[in-house]
Amino acid sequence: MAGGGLAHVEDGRLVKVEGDPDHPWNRGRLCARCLAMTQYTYNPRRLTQPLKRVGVRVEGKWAEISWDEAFDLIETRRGAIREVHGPESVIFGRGTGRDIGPWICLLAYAYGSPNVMFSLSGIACCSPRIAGVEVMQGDHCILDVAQWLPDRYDDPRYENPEGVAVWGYNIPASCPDNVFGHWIIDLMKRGSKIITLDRLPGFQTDSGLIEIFSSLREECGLDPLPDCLEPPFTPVSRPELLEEYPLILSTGRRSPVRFHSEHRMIPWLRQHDPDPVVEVHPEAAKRFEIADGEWVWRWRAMSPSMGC
Amino acid sequence: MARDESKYGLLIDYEYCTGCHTCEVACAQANDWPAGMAGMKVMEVVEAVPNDRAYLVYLPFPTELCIPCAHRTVEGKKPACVAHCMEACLKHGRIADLAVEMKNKPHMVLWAPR
Repeated sequence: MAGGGLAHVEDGRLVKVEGDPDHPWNRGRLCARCLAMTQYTYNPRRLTQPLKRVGVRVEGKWAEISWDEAFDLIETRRGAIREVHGPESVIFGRGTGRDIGPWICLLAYAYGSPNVMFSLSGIACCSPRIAGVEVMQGDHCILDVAQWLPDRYDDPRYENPEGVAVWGYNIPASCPDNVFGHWIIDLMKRGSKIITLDRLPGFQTDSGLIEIFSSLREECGLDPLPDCLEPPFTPVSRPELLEEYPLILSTGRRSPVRFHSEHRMIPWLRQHDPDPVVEVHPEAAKRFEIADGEWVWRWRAMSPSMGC
Repeated sequence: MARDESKYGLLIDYEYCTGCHTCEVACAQANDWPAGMAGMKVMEVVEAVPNDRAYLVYLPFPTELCIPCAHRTVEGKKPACVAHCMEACLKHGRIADLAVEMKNKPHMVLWAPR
């Protein structure tokens, strides 16, 4: 939760989650996902026990095992890998969760592996942004929305910013990134102007998207612009794929009630965004004769999927 | 019959609605509505405007199921949608007072319950 919540419990059962009006961060507000918490907690499809595969990989057959059994199994298997191949042979991968970094690092270091990987670098998500401001300023900074003052915007020490620059980022829809996303709306109501940089012409780089570069790196005689390594599946590295797979789809669009495949099993949320959505440039849609609202199949080099 | 302006209504400042659906889920939880029913519905309005541009706006709209949280307001609490609205763009109050507030800001809708 990006703020305080009040969980109402009756006879040991969670019956309701509401925003805490006394919490200075959200002041009683709470997002749709938190408000639907009972539907996560008591979801019939929620896993409450570890499952162990029985049969072969593609059969989809699983048996419930105890937590002790699961931990023992992991320890035995991982221990064997470490014995045979060394701890560096294991890479600890993490997803987007803002809170997972420290824990997965501890796990990796306890195992003896220095390899911790974040799988989403290169797109406009949290880690590249953090890396960008760290390179520019020497530290990671976030928006000052009076979040450290108990009276928030009313504290005399706080000055509402005249402008807030935003790029590559839809703040209210991407709440988990650093701040309570809707604070940006609070600022707008108090007179802050939003400066969006997304449409400005950039520097003369390949993408034309670089607006700001590291003067610190330049002073040190290093290339001030980030390097780009071509991924293995692109029209550049594999031009022959273009014929069969002419479109490149990027993921990461967020809806307030859905993120990737998350939250889809929650009835109160699913109703608002029931189907996966593919957004295509109008010119590309015209080229492939796709009309708005139509269902499309998308086939990719790895596996098929569907959206509308 | 003239509407009693001392009655309560909802002032909806749709300029700041981001279409997050929090009001709908808050309503469903507070009033035990299953998915698909709620006293609040967020409408998405897309309007073509000149120069090949489009104008997008969200309007939280109280439906026939809105009561507006009489069981909460009697206890001095805000209606569930108002309390939880992430943009704080919903306000519950006396219609006469809300109408005065409306004079000071554009892009607002005043809603009166049955």
